[in-house]
Amino acid sequence: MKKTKKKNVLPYIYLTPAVIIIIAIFAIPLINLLWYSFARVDLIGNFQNWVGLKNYEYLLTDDFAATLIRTLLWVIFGITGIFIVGTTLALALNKPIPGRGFFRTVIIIPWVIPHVFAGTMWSWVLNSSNGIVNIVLMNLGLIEQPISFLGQHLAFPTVVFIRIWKGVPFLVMSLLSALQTIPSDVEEAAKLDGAIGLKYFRHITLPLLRPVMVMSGTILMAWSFTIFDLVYVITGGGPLNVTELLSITIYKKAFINSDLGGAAAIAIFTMVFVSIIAFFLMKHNAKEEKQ
Amino acid sequence: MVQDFVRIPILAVLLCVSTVISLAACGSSGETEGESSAEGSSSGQTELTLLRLGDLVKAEPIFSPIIESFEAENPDITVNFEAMAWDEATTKLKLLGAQGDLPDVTFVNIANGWDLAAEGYLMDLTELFESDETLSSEIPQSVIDIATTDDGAMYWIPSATGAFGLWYNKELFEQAGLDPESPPTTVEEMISYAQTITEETGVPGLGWGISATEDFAHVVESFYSSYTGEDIWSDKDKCFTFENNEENRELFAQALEEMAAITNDYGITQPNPVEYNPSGMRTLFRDGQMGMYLDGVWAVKELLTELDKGEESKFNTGLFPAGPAGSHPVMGCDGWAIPEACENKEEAWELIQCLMSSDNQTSHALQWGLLPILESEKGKEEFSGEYWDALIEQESTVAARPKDRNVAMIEQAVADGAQAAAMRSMTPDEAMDYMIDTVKANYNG
Repeated sequence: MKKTKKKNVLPYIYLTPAVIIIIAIFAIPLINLLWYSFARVDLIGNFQNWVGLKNYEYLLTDDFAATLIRTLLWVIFGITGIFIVGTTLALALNKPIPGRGFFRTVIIIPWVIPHVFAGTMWSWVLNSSNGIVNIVLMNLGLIEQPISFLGQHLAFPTVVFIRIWKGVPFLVMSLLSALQTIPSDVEEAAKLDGAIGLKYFRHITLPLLRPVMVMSGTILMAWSFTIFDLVYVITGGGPLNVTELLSITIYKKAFINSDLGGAAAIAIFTMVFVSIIAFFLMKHNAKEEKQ
Repeated sequence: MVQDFVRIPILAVLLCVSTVISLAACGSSGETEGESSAEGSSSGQTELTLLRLGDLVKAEPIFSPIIESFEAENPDITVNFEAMAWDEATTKLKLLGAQGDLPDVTFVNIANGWDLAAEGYLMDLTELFESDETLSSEIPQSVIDIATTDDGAMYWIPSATGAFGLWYNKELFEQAGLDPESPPTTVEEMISYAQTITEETGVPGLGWGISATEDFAHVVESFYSSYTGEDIWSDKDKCFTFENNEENRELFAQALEEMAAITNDYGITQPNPVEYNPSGMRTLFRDGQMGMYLDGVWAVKELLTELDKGEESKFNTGLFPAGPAGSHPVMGCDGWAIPEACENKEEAWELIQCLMSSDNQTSHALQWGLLPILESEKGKEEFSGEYWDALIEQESTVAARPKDRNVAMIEQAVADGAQAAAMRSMTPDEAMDYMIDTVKANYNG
């Protein structure tokens, strides 16, 4: 009897250090964020007074709705682009093409460049007056006037493009790892059954890649929601707020308006929103896998 | 075996506990330092800390010799010099203020200064300043006004100032048949000169940026003051000065309309002004890719290679283009403050007096890229280049940025609204209402 009780307690003892660390790392900041969101708190976290749901009122405004829709578009277009380009590149790099090792190395470069530097670099490259892209296009006679890549009409597609550029390597590496786990006899059997080209991709490769794709997609989605510096360095959320994402709104609330409570409310919303989407994605994937 | 299983988690828990204890020990070592510092002062030696915002590599060579000479003159005072990155200042200064740990002499900028003052962390230096006849007579009244609240409190001694003016390229003026010694003086003239330069040389006559940044807010505020003759923000009423004043509102609408016309209609600017910060065009100006642009004294250091050529230099400055009320660009005005919690206020003030002496201030101004604000500095050889004339003259007609703890938020609203008006996605009236509504919704009193 005593031994059984000891056995029951043992797992909890093992778990204790991990639980302490998890509480310290996740729960304390989360609780802090939660109570900030119901309070008036200044930039350095000085509690001033409780404000109930006042900080959440901003979530009902048209401004916030516009920012949320913009952020969703950024996530959807960004991830779609990453998947189209990333899957294509991964499939290509899985073939025994010459220089495969070199290309596999080169493709990681955008991923390892820090966001701030990547943003600065792209803003130089796309600059209206001195940017290399405009200079080349004008010298080739393809355009007469420089293209305003960061102007009102093109700023959003431009930052989505840069997001794709930055996100593709992660997906390529994930998919390449998964592709290498597909047994060669599966491929041979499929070929014998006449499954080649797109048919092979659709019926063999894609189902086998699905778990990795869902996991990578979930991670990319969470990252896309929280990316701040890449866009902020390039556009600052402008012009006319056309590139203002939730993360930039949170920054502006906290550091320009000195409203940590308001920023916390948006952060809580974002966290819950992303968690719900991630939950359904994972659940759907689990269901598909069972089937 | 079971013993091993128990021993390992216990060891892990102990490790966690020891980590917590060692962290606590780190915290307590800070207290020990504080105690030793207090001991230092009880032994007759006063320790002061001097903080300059900005890069330590840039600041140290300027302040080390000043501190050395101060310590030589005051052997009972030791000064420890520190620098803090601009980006960190907003949170760190406030945190230090809340803890009563602000350095004895702290350099504050407008973005943080009014907030620290509103929290009661900074000492009102008015009496000390007025009692120092040399210093108070050395700083122009226009600058004193910028640094003083509506109820007459001065929380920092102006030391780092700068205002927007007009930079122009004399060579392009000559090529366009314009007199390089007579820059435009009004907004209309600036536009007309820019049209001539564009037509005659093919180079954009005016560098123009409307990216919704702090710099752009300063240009808008400068236009506002030059059109209305007033600061954009009322320190007394805590609202925009066009909010309850129809005449100011009408004049501001004219200014915003003119800015929209410069952006869209006259064909005098570089392509795509929305991508540019107003002062972000120094490189293009340096490379002769525009005839004129608006920038301040901050450009001097970056254009120095050309400016050092003296009369041969192709660059010169003019006053900020005047509106109906004259030329009134806003002035950035940062300076030296003493915290309310400082235990050695007398010594701290002595250090400020030393920092503000003519030679030390000149050294600070030249190496950092600031205006000479003391009257005794203005005749110095260091400021004799002709490009200094307008920059220095401008000092007497400057206007103030919002004297409010919410200055960053107010200026962001100004920049966003004015950008929308300049791009004609809002009418001037809508832009002004946007500024008012945004500030009201976010104002932290």
